[in-house]
Amino acid sequence: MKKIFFSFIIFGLCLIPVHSQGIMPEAEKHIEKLESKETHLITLPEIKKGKIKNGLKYYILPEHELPITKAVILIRGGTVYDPIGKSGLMDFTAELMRMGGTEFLKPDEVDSRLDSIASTVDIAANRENIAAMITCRAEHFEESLNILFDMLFRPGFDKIRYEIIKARYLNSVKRRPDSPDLLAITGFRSLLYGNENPWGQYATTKSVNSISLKDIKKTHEKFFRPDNLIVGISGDIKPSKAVDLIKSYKYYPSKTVAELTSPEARPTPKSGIHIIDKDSTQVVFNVGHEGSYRFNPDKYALIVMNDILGGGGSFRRRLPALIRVEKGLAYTVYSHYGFGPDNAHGMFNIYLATKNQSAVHALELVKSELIKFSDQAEISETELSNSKAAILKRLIFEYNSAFNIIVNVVRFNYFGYPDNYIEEYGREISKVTLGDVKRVAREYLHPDKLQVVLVGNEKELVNNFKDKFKTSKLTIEN
Amino acid sequence: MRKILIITCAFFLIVIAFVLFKCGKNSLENRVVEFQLENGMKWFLVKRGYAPVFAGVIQVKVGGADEEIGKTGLAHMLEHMAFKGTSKIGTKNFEAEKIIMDKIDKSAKAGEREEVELLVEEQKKYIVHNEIWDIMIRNGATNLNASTSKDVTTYHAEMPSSKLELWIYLLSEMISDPAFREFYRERDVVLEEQLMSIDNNPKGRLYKSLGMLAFEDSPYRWPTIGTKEDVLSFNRQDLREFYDKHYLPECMVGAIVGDVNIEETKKYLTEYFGKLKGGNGICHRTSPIDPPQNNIKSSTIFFDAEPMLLIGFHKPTVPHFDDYIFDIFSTLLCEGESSRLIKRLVKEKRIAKSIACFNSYPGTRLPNLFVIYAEPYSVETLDGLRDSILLELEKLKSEPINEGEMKRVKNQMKTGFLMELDSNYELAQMLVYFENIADSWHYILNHPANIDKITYEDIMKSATEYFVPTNSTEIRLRRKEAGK
Repeated sequence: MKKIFFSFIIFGLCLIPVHSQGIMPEAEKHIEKLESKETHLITLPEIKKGKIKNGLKYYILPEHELPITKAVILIRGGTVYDPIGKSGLMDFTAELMRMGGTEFLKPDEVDSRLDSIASTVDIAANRENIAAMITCRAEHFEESLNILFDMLFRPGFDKIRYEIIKARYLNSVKRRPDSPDLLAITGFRSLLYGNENPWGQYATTKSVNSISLKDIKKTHEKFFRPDNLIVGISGDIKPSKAVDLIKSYKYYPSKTVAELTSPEARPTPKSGIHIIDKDSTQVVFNVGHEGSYRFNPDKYALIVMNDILGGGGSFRRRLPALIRVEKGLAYTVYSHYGFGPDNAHGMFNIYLATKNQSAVHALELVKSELIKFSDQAEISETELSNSKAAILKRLIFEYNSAFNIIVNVVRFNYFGYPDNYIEEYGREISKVTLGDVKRVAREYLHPDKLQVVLVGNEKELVNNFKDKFKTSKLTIEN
Repeated sequence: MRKILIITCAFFLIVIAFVLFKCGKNSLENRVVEFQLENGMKWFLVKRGYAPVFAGVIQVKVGGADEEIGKTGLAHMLEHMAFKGTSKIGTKNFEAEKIIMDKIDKSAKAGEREEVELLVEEQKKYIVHNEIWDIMIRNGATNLNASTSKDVTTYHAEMPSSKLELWIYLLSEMISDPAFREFYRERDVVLEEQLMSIDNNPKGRLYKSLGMLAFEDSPYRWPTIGTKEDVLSFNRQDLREFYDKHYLPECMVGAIVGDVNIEETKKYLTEYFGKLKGGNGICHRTSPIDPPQNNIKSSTIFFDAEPMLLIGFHKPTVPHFDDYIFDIFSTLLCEGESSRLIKRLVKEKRIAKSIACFNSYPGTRLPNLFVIYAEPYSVETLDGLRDSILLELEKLKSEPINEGEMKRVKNQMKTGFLMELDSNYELAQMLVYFENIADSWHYILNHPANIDKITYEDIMKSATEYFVPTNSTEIRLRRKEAGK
């Protein structure tokens, strides 16, 4: 059916996630009354979970409203496992698992079979995992799951599909400079983690060309093992039936997976301004430094801190309030504070895009706001309570469908959290105090060490910045 | 306690499954409660849900196509301004603030830029930025946003069920009493949005060029976001006039889908939206329509990006029978790995990196375009790719599609529809959109049956009628060659 085309929206970012001062008295009481209606809390429904003999773990939660069944599978792995110089290997492997047929069906047969039952099956590599998904009508779930399992455990490695995927991948590399956002994040990451580190490297013509079918087979052999993945199923299916489907699959490989440790990295900001040249009338900014790790006890204070700074999906958070609402300098501006594993911390990154002429001004504003926020700890009780309220009250959406619950539980298990982590998360967020936020803002934000990556017209930018800041050139290899 | 909750839920869910689908069309009809206020505003309410949350959508029958040349981008600008508060919300003293805003308008009209800047600064002491947005966010809102297309303007959010009355109240205030404060800053924000979505965006440029070339008199010609010159020329009076003309209750449809009490919801809607004053009760929209195109149109835009190709064919819109055939074309040619263009051009001939089809660009209210977008591997194969696409379209004229394909396409379309019902938000969007565009949301109920009516001959006939060079517009995007 039809989609609504080219809508222009008010808020230019996916919504990530407050006391009134600006309400006239006649409305104020009314709003207070409506706000005071408390949100219901719900607890995790009972999920059927277990592990079969070969080590494969599963979580199942039925929901019979619609005749739809969905599955999510997380496989330990991800693009950060790519060997140095072979960036793209995991992406390529995942794509070939999906597109390259199986031991039992040719690629074309898989394609037409899935389309004829209107099942959507995807396999994609993320940074820290490989994710597979099924969305289909309940009556076709058994067949869809079997096909997906065949793709994962009995792939066809079709040679022609290998060549097609390679050609498409090489073309994607060529098209990377078409997107200033992609250029910026690629540059930001490679500077922060180092281009010789799996967390910092990016796919190039050379690295993709070096990926052989043999490399892919080896990668498959190493990662695609039943004890290296977690299966989640939800929707119109009986849990006992789902367990039977998993248990009765005939072609699991027998070998178990070797111990996998995700590669190490020490993100270190290369302070200064790095310009990636692109003919454009707008400049895309990535500004920041290293983030932190998932099991850091300060994580919740950092999450609240980032929400107040610019991660909260509200125009009243610091950066959007200043850069967008007050100064009118950007349509999109937000901050992201990321968490990685213990041995490879995440990134702290502020994104914005502004016209060339405003670039210097915008950077000065970001810097001074960060100094106010961290060094001078100018954060108010109201900001704290508004951010906490927003984070806590929208947690209920994590439960708004059985599939959401299942995706969460699978992810939690993958990253080592308890099944009911949402509850723990809520408890920990509610404990965060203003003192905590001020402390982490001072301790974890470093306005003096900012790594600034700009994508835009180099000549114009060098000229605009030369009186105030030193700049250097950054090249993203194709 | 928890056990009881689960049992109730399970029971409820079984009931819905039964009512929504197992009994066919009539039952979905029964689940959607239609509710019209005395002022003409229509609402659709659906009680369902897994968790105590709801999705709320209000859609106004106004979009870029309702603008006039010289004022393009106004509908979108108004959407941005709707979030800037009311005479009661977002201000410390509206009386005092209003005096300044009136002065700003005067100075702006007289072209006194410096005076405007001074007054804007002065007004700041009364403004509390983005109060409406913030109240929603701190009460758990997610998916909070608004959008403007050529056809409609839509405001939406998802919130915990306990905040239903709050959402209805805030939206009613926002829609009925906008203050249009901070206009000049927001205009700058919209200009940045233009730079990002069109000026520096190859796809944005490609689609803009298609509209400009394919349409003549039709308001589908210009992009929703408008031109820079037009946006810079707006003042608050333009907004006020556009608002007064289009934001009438008879031009608005809302939907609330989720775990809500229907009777209570009706009470809130009557209380808060009942106060909106209507016009003459009929939402009147007219737009010029292009005469049939009778020559091939094509152009090349030069841009610093890898090559792209866009081909558009004029076609009628809903409820024309042929529009359903284009839904078929879209799925047959581009949906799924075994679809014709993907199978033949991406995998067999290997001359396209990717291909996509869209029915109804840039909107659905007026006659529109069927569009094929393709990325070649290099600029040398741009023309070859175009020829191969046209060759595939030619085949549709002379050879009936095979039975397996027909079955596949119909199944994919029906399943796609089912998947959209999965989320409160999608269902709410579909209800308001088709009510506004196709005159009744029943369009979605009847869609599968209408698709089933389509025969092999219908497909060949439409291909023959529409996929002809004189009905097509081609846009190529490529880099400027050095020295040229």
